[in-house]
Amino acid sequence: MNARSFFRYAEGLSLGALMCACGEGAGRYGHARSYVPYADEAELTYLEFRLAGARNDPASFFRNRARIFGTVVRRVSAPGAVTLVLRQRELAPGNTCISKNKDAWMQEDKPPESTCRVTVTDERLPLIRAVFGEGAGAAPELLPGDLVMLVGLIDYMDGEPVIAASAYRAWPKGEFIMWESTALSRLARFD
Amino acid sequence: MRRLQLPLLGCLSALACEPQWHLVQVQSGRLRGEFVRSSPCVATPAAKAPLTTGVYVGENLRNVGGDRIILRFLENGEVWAFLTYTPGEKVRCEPVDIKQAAQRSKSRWPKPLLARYCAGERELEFELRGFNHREASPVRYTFTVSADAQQLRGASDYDENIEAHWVEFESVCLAPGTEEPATESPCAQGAKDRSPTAAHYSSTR
Repeated sequence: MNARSFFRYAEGLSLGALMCACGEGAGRYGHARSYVPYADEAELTYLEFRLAGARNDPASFFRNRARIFGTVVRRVSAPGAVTLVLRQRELAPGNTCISKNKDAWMQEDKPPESTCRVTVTDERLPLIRAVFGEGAGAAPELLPGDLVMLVGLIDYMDGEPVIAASAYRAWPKGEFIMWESTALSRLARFD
Repeated sequence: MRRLQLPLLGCLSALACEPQWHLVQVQSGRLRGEFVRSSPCVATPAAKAPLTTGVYVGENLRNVGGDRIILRFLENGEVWAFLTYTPGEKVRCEPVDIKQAAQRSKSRWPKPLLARYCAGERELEFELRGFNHREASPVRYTFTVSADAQQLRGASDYDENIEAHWVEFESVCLAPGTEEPATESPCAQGAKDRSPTAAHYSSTR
């Protein structure tokens, strides 16, 4: 594990609000050619959350740790808890690096990593609910449209799967890129 | 964990409506489709009275892949979801021939999708199975019917704040065998009166 620990993911304890994230030179938003997980994040084992799967097979999903990327649709506050409604997003295979030189890709002139942004696709995925428990600063102050990566245990409320969030990482607008899923497959990429 | 009340989730029926979703396979020649039924639904057809005729359309009423859909509720408790053609956003008056629909749509999902709805009072819930790329994905819809039965308000797994309004089916459908919106007698009378049922298919459970 790196010197700095960016995640607190002890499920059942208070939510792990994101701390400083400056490791590996990619910065807290992961400016690198590929997705750079935080140290703690990389060590986790988790399921990639799928709503249909969680519905159809609760026994396999209940209390399992899951990870999900999503853009914030809205935030619902209730006494003792906050629910984030997320539009689930798919993490792209690589980050997107933007060059000011339009012919850069032909000249094999790779743009610097500082131009790279975490990339998700715009594929139409379902709305997912993530519940944040009590605790000072527990629920992230995210705005609609922000990207968030959540880790938490899968729980069921009224029969519907939700993620009881225990850790998160967020990217405000401008710090991530969303590509059309079809365009992404055709895109010449810098990697 | 503290239990939260998540709106629009779960079966909201006051009539002990507890749908059990299961897959039904449909075979027509070499083509095969799937849809999801719910059963049992305790609510009687009388309880579904506001939804017995007509269809509902809404700008933000879309299926799993993002295409606009039209919902048609039948007296026998089935709900048919028709994918709209673009441009024109019309559906076939008789989209019950799964083989024809599959041929028309080539590799696309045969239309329509079918589910049985579960309703009580003015709340209803149903689940349709669509495809997003190649991944099968059942989509759950939950609506509240307005007092005059002219509007549906609700949500699906993919969209919130869905609003749909009642229209005559004939106003949104194409006469069989045509590509253009019909101007006169758009639907055969048979299409108007006929309730598409699973009897059109050979189905296995």
